Parts: sequence; C-alpha cells; structure tokens
Amino acid sequence: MRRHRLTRRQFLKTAAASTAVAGAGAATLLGAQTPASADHSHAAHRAAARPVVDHTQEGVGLQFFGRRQAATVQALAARIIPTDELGPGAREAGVIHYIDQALAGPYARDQITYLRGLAALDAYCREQFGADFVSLAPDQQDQVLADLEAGRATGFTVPSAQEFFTLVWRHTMEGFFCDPMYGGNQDFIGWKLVGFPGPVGFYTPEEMVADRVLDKPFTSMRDWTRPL
Amino acid sequence: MARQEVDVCIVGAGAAGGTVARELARAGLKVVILERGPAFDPREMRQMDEIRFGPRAGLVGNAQQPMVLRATEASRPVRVAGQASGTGGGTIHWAAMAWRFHEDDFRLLSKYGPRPGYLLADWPLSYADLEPWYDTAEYEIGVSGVWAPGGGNPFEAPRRRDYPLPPLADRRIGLVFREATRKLGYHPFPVPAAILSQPYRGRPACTYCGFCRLHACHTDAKHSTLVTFIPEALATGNCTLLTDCTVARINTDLTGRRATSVTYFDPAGAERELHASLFYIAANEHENPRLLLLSASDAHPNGLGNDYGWVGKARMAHTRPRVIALYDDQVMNAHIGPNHPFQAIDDFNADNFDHTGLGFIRGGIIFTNVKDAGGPLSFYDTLPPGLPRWGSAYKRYLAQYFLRYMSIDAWLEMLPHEQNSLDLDPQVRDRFGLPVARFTITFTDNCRALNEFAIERMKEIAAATGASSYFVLPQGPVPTAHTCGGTRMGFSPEDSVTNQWGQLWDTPNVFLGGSTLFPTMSGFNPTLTIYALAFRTADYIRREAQAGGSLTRYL
Repeated sequence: MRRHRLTRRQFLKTAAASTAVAGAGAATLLGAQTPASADHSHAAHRAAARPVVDHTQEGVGLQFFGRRQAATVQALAARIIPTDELGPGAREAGVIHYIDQALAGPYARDQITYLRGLAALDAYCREQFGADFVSLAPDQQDQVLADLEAGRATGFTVPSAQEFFTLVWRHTMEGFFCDPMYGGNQDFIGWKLVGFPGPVGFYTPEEMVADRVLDKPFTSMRDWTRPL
Repeated sequence: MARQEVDVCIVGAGAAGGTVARELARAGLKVVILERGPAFDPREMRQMDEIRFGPRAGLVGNAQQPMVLRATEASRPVRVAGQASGTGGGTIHWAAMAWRFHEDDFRLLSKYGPRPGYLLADWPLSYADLEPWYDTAEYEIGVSGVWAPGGGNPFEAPRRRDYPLPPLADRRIGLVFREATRKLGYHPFPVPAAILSQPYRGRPACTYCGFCRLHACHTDAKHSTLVTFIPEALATGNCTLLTDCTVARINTDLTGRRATSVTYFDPAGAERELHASLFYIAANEHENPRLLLLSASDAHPNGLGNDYGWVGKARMAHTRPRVIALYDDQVMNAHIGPNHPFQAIDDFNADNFDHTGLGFIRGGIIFTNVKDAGGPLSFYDTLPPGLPRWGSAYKRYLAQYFLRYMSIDAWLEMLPHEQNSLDLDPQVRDRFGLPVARFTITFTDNCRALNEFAIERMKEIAAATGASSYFVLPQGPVPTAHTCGGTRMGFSPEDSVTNQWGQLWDTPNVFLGGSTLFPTMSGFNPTLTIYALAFRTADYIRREAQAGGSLTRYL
C-alpha cells in the first residue's frame, strides 16, 4: 500500500534518526566520510556531508585567473624576484594577487595577452623539457625565461615571446612595489627590500640631508584613508 | 553689433588659461572657460600612490585626445595618447621648476645670424619687456628661490628684486651635486621652485613627502591653477567654467577678420556653439596649432592664422640626456622631497661658455634629480648595461642601489628647424571624427653635437661626486618634453602667426597663450615664461578693452 512506501527523502530522514542505521548506511548513501565517533547530531551530519576541500589550494580568491594559470604566473614572478638569501620574493609578496586583480580590472585589455602567452609558454616547456612551466626545476624555468626574453622561445605569435616576457616582468615589478592596497607588496616585502617606507607624508629638513638609511615606519595609503 | 553676453571665451583651463581667466574676471569682463577635461576636485586627489599616478598615469593619462608621433617624414608614425587634460592642465602633475629665460634667449637670430635649415628668429619682445611680468608671476604663484646677489645663479637675467620665498630645504643629492660642481669650477645654485618653502597666501609649505611629480600635491604647496587662479576667477562671479567640453573649431565672419564663436562638443557629445567678443586659445602645446588648422574656411583656406603657412612650423622640444650615478657605500635618499632638482648649474646653457671648436651653438641646464616620480616603480627599470633584469642579481641591485643613487639630468635647447613640424594626420581621427595632430620631430644636427658634449660634462660631474659607477640612459628618437612653437610670435604676418601679445595678425580678436607662441625655446623649462606672457597679455586685453582701446569694437 502506498502509505507504507517511503520516499527516498523520508527514508533518509528516518535512517539518520535511527541509531542503528545512521552509522554506515547514511554515510554510504551520502557518499561522505564517516566520523569515527558516534556523534550523530545534526551538525555532525552536516559537517560530514560537506566534501573536504582545502580552498587555499584551489585558487579561490582569484578574480580572473584559473588556478593553474595563477600558479604559472606566480612561478614566473618567483623567478623574476626569487626567494633567496636576501629574503622573501615575489611569491611571498603576493604579486600574483596584484596581477590577477589588475587583469580583472584596469588592465583587462591585457587578458588576452596572458591567456595566449601562458598557453604558448607551457607548449614551449613541454617541447623543451616534457612538462609545464610550474613543474620544471628552477634552473629549467630560468632557461625558459631567458629564451622568452631573448625571443628564442618558439611557438609564440601574438604576443611574441619578448612581448609576453616584458609584460609579465612589468606587472611583476608593479606587484612587488605597489602600495599593499593593490594586493601585492604584502607585509611591505618589496618596500622593505629597497628601503622605501611609502607615503609617510613628510620628511624633516634634517632627514632631507641625512647620509644614513632613515628609520621610517612602513606605511600604506590605507593608513591615511578614513572610512567613507 | 549688440554686446555679446560673453566678453571672453578661454579655451583651456591650464597655466595660461587659468591666469587670463582670473585677471580678466577680476577686471570685470564676463569670462567663459571651455575645458575639454574634467573638473578635478583637489580634495579627491591627495593620494600618494605610484601605481595610480605612475604606470596607470592617473593624471597624465586622462588624455582624451590621441595624436600621432613620428621622428621624420620617412619614419613609421605611432599613435599615442595625448596630453593630460582637466582643470589645472599640466600644472597639476609638473615638477614645478620656475625659470626666467636669459636676455639673449629672446634674440637668437640677431645673435647668431641665419643658419641653413634652421628657423631662427627673435622674439618680438625683449627680456626687459617681460621682466615685470616674470616678477608678477613669481609673486602671484609664490616661487621659492634666491637671486644672484643672495647666492643664486650668477648667470641669471637681471631682476628688480629677490624671490618672494627662500629656497626649499637642502637635500642630500643637492649637497653632493653642489660640492662636486664647485670642485669642477662651476656655479651651482638652488633651482627656483613653484613649491612653497613657507606658508604663503593661505597655502601651507611643502612637507617633502616625495610624491610630487605626476601627482597632485597633497597639501597644495606645489602650485597649480586648479587650487589658486581658477577658484579665484570663479569667486569674482564673472567667470563660468564648462568642463568636459572639447572645442573643435573657431568660427569667423565671412571676411575672416573677426572670430564670432567656437564650436564645441558638450559633455554628452552634442555639438554646440559659444559666441563671444574675444577669444583666448590656450589649449596646450599640440592642440593650439591643431585648432587653428581645423578652423580653415573660405577666408582662411589653410587654417586660421595660417595665410603664410607658419601654423605648425618651427616646433621644438627639449632633449634630455640623463646619467645615473651609483654609490656602493654612500646613502643618497634621492626619493625624499619634491621630485624637483634642488641644485643646478647654468654654466653650460645658452652662450654662458666658450663654444669655440665645439660644432654647435647654445646649451642647456644640468642638474641633479631623482629618477622620474622617485619611488621604486621609477627605479626598477633603471639598469646599467649588462645587468639582468630578473633573478637574484637583479634583486640585489635593487636592494643595494635604490637608496644609493642619483640622477644627473639635463634639459638641452633645441633650435627650431624645417624638419620638425605639426600638421593634421591624414588617417587617424579622434572620437568626434576630426583629424588628430601629427607631430614630426627628431634631433637636429645641433642637438646631436650638444648632447654628446653635455653627456661628457655630466659624466665628469658623476665622477666628481664620488660615484662608484655610472651609466647613461638611452634617449628615443622622438623628443617631446616641453614642446614649444607652432604658433610663433613675430614682427610681421609673413613670418609669424601672432604679434607680441599672442594676437593673430589677421583675426585680432583671437589671442593665443602657451608655449606654442615661443619662436625659440631656451634651455629652461617653459612654464614660468608661459605664466609671464599670460599675465602680460591679460593686462593688454584689459587695457585695450577699456574705453578708447583697440578691442572695444569687439565688445
């Protein structure tokens, strides 16, 4: 009789409420990991139902690039300003976020250059070394970068290899030295490297003639901005 | 003819337009300014931000009028964004050097005689005629400097009195430059600055923030007409400012001897006409000649003021060699303070030195400076030959030298020459369908020889400062800094576009302002001379517009 035939939803609700069934059956039906403990609360089951994903690895927070593209651009930037004995470089400074946000906004006209350039870059890397740029060893990446800069890298049309290199270089340096409010130069990594404190707003006559490195607080325009 | 509602239509709210607007509005004339750019609000422009105002050209890039550049007639033309526009014009982002010319800068033809290919000419006024107006401009603007009797430039033209304000505070690179040039026997002095060293007429003094050139000043200590003459003009009640209005044409009556109106495009792009009695055209160094060419009619088939073919001719720009000096063990802090050269020498300018056997005439100013806008984004591409521009060696270079470099710069005078000119491009059109300006300019032979000489002197100075190493920055073939000429002043209609007042010979109710009036350009930045000429012309218009004056027939 119809009354006794549960819908799937009713079955699941019933099953979840049942101590005997919830442990294995519900988990199997929902395809989720089963908590080892016997916590069968509603919250526990909601948590169990959510797939386990590390969003920081998936490129969430990007405004234009896909994850792999962002990883490639970050890898390029990390050879332009490497992390080395002088300290952090383009990676730690968050240069990728500057470039990503610029392309999603004021530099949208450069989007096509990146899409075509990154595709040509990886095609060239596979031809030379059998793997995409992100997978190459640093010295292999440096070789590819040198080929780009010299115009030796084949397979580029528009942009040319040199045009692509120059654009990525300029954007990397902008992202390394921008005010942090633009997404790069995080923790003032770029400014700390060169000793530029940013918009401190004033210097005294004594500081103007000083022949020493001045001790000024690293400052962003955010420090000047009042809430709207 | 019944009196027009508008006495004076001013095209361009920059240095010259802002000055004339204030002077004539204060004199009781009804003034309307048409400015193609936006109405800037200075309170919204106080951001010290190299990204926004450097690579993203927040002020300079607000250029709504493209143009075409090429080195020679045989070169490939390149389309570029045009000049900045907006209330204040170039006076917002400039470096604010405020120079008077030398006496002889006004009389190159008399001094040197004609030279084949070059278009040398005397100005139709002398330094003595302009001196009272340089004085007015310096005191109205508030220029910081010191005259020769007080330790300033021993080569300067005679002045009736000192500057209104003392020089800006010394900075390290200035002191180093001064010591080195003195050692070489030259005569360094503080460069006069349109930047307040002390509070003046309601504006505060400079705070030496280091975000100067390419930026609007965050305290208004750097002079712009946006924060001074334009609001003062508006405060009279006699001046109306219409922004986002692009003037496309000056219209005349059938005789061509009287301008009647300008045609302009309003903010919505609709074509409109403004009638006025007098016109003052100060539309910047490219748009002035362009506007005259676009104003051709049956009466003036080659363009307004162009019956003898001088519109667009005798164009000039400064060439600018630069030497970057690096110091392994001395901190220079070049990025601090205004992006304004604090110390200069005039020893190699004009005819201040012996040219025997050198193969060129004239010269230019040599001074110390920061690179471009002064922050890391102005330095990262400033590399000695052979240094890679990426990797750990590059990173180390930036870390070591950003605080330990200075630039030694020069502005070198270019003589007007037949090969350098402006006309209307045959192909490229602006968004209103009008042909854009095409500027053909490159180094003359005199420029090349002068540059070679100047670079050697600059290297010697770099060595004398104790630099560990130095290198020369390359210059492109198309110089455009401080463009002058194209509507030159002169003594007669046959060889010039305007008289000494900037008044068109054949259409006397039209005046021009700006650097396009200059028959020759000097080694100095042009802006204080633009201001002085504007004050002088405004005074002339004011006088001649009074009862019995030559302009009353138009009012």
